[in-house]
Amino acid sequence: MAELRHPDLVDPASLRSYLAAIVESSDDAIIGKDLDGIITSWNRGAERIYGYTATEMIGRSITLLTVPGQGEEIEVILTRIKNSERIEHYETKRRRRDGSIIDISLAVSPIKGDNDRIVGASAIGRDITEAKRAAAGLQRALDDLRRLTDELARSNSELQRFAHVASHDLQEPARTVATYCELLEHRCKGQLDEKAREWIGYAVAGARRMRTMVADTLEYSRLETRTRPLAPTDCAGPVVEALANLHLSVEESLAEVRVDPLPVVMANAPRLVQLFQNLIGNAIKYAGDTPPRVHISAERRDDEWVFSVRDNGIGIELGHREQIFDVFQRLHPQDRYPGTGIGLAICKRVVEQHRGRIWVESEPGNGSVFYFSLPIDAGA
Amino acid sequence: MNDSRPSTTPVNLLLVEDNPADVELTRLSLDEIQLPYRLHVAQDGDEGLAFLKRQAPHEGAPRPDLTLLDLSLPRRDGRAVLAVIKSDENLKDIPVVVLTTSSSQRDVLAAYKLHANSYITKPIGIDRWITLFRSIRDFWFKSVRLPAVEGR
Repeated sequence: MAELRHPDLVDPASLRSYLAAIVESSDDAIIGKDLDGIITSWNRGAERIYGYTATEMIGRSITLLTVPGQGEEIEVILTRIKNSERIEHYETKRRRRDGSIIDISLAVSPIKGDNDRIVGASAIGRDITEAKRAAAGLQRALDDLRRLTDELARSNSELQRFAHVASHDLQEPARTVATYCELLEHRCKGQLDEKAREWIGYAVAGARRMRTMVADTLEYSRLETRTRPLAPTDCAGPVVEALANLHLSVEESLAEVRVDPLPVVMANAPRLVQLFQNLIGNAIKYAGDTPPRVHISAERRDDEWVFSVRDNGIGIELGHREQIFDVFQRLHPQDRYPGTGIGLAICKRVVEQHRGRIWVESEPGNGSVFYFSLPIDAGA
Repeated sequence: MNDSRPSTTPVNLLLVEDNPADVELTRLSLDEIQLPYRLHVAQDGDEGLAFLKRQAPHEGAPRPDLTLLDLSLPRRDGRAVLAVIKSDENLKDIPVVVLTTSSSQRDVLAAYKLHANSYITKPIGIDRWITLFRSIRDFWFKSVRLPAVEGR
C-alpha cells in the first residue's frame, strides 16, 4: 500500500471505495468468509459465476456451493487458512444456483484483523469450465491421433510382413511349375508334337517370369523396412559402386558415362547404390541404336540437391511419365526390352524414404533426364 | 576317400517334405547319381520326429544316415523339428540338411542357430536338382566320416 500516491487515496474512506471498485469489477468471484465459512462479502463476479446475489449469500455458509461428495473439502481449506496457509491454483467443482456444476480454480488467503490474528479468508474463484472442456477435448483429440498413428504403424508393418511372407511363399509354386515344365520338355520330348512343345515353352517362360516378379516383389517389400538411419554420404561412392555392378552392360553397350562432382547428402548408402544403379542401368538399356551416353550431375536448388541422370536414348512419350514409377509398369514388349517393371518403382520408394521427389523430362527419340531431389539436411 | 561303408549298402535318407512334387524331384535326382539309397518320406514334422524316435507306426524305422528337412511343413514346422532333433541326446548326431524354398537370411541364420548341419535353397530346374544331389552324395557319403550307426 506504500506505493499508492493518488491524492484521493490518502483518505481512508476513498481508499476503501477505490479497492471495493476493483473487487466489484473483477471477472473472478471474490468472496470473503469467516473462519466458520460464513460468507461476509460477495462481488459481482461471484454473482455472475455462481448465479446467487450478494443479498442471497451474505450470512450463509460457503458449503451451499459445494457438490455432493466433496465431504470435508471446505473444512480442510478453513483449517489450512487458520494455519496461515495460502491455497493457490486449487481446482475443484462448485454448484451454481441453477444446479449446474462448474469447474473452479481457487486461490484462498487468510484475512488478518487486529494483532495479526486470522479472522477469515478471501477466496478468489475463476470459472475454468470452458478451459477444462477445451483441454479435455484436446486431450481426446491427441489420444485419438496417437491411437490412429499406432494403428497405422501396426497395419503398415503387418503389410510389410505380409508382402515378405507372400512373396517368399509364392516362390515355391512358381519353382515347382518351372521345374516340371522343364521336365516335360526334356524327358517327354519324343511323345510331344510341335504344338505341345511350343505350349510348354510358354508355360516355362510364364513360370520363370512369375519367379522374377515374385523375387522383385520381395526386393521391393524389403525396401519398406528401414535398415539403418540416414548418415552423411558422399554420393560419389554409391555412383562408383553402381557403375562397378553395371560394368558388364557398360562394356557391352560401349556406354560413355560422365559423372560430375557430387555432393554429400544424408542418405542410406546401399539404397543410393540401388537408386543410381537402376537409373544408370535404364539409361544404358533404353539407349536405342546408338551407344549410350550417360551424364550424372547434381545442382543445388534452394534447400535441396537436384540430381540428374541424362541419357541419349529412346525417350518416353508424354502420357507415360507418371506411370513408369508404378510397380510392374512397363512400356515395351518383353522381347524388345525384358524386365518386370520394378526398377523405377524401387527408385521412387528409395527417393521418398529420403524425403525427396523423382520425376522425368524426356523427348521421344532425344533421350530422357531422370531427376531426383534430396533435402539438404542441417546434419549433412 | 574315407568311405568305411561298402558302396553297395544303401544309405538311409529321411526326407521330411510335404510337397509331393519335391519328393518326386528328390527321387528323380537320386536315381541319376549312382548312390544306392532308401528314401523314407515323412509328410509333416510330427511324422518326421516319430520316424526318428521309432514311435508308432515307425517302430522298425532305420536310423537315417542323413535327414533332409523342409522348413515349411504342416503341423510342426521344420524349425521346431530341428530344435527337437538337436536337443535330443539320441538324435543330435544325425546330420540334418535343411532343404527349403526360402533364401531368406533370417531363415538361414535361424537354422544354423538351431545347429542345422547345412542349409540348401531348393534349386530351379531338374538339372540343378541332380547337380545338388551329386554334391550331397560327394560330400556326405564320400568325403566326410559319419558317426557309426548301430544296428545297420
